[in-house]
Amino acid sequence: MKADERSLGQLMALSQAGDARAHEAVLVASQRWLRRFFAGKIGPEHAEELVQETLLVVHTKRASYDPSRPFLPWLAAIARYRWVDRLREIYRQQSDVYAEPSECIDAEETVSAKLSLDRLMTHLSDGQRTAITLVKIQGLSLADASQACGQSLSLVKMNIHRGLRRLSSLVEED
Amino acid sequence: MPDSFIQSLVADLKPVRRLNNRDPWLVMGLLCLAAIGAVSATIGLRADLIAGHPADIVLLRSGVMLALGAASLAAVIAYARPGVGQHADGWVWAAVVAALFPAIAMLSAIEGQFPKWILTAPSGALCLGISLTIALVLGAALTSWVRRGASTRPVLQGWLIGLSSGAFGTFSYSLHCASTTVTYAGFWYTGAIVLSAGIGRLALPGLLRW
Repeated sequence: MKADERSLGQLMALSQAGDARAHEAVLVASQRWLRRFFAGKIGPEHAEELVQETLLVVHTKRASYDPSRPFLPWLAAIARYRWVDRLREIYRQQSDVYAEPSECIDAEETVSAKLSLDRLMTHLSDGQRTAITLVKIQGLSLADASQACGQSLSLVKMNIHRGLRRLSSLVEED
Repeated sequence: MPDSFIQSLVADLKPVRRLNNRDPWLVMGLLCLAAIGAVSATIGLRADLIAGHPADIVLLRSGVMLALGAASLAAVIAYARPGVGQHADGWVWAAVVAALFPAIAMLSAIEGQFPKWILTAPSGALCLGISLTIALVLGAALTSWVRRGASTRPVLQGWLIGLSSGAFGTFSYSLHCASTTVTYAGFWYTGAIVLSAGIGRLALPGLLRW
């Protein structure tokens, strides 16, 4: 059975009161939602780790949820924040990220276009979006990405750097 | 069947007290009262306040600082929880109104009418020192509350915590301050509030990230 928005909020309120079954149900539903949310937004080897990190935040920061408000925007805000944080971390470490075909997102559980990570990407310039997608999401090397998109190597690097900074500030502004 | 990671989180579950929006109002209010009490007991309150007939300028600057402190506190509270599309922009308007004080001081400087004694007044250092000390205490309490939440805007929160505690801290001190000029408030009070906001911006984001 899929928990809807309202029941997730009610379950989270019970979690805050220490109800283990409700907490388990919230975490399982959140895990499912987060896997779809991150699909195609980051390499699969990072995706599961990111799901776990976000679940840990859901657990440790559960006091910050207000049961009078919808649950999914709360979860989505945490997920977006962790996602950008992770992209920056990957960028700093210069590690490779590999692509995997993205899973279709269940429309019923999509919060709204407003919340989506894709929407954040639309705020980037074409060059920044292309560079981040090719290198950080599809996992191409800088040189391959440079060839694929026709940007010079240094421009690809600059676009990634500036794009990630922009994403980071967008998450803080929204 | 939940995986072992989820099971470990469930095993760790304990009841938690929800983040309560009234707590920071209460704590800031009580700390402000304590600060005013301390100011009264050590350096004393203005004579017109004690007599119950405060000068117009005292009412004006107190109102502006309280509005700025309250509006930025409301924003701090709103941004302490994760959420999408949250906007609490009242502090911007309060800051615009408060900026009239330094704007007037600046205009008088441009016109060559800025009283030089204001720059060298010994009370200026006292104003900065006491206002910032109170702001530090208020800011520490507010930061501790925000850390219980999960702010997704730590940089803005740093500014706002500094702004709110700076405004309340300077207000608490101002009840002692004998000055009756807008230029004095525009220079020294603004200086204390801006410094407090800057310290919040520099010192707090690292403490608020999660």
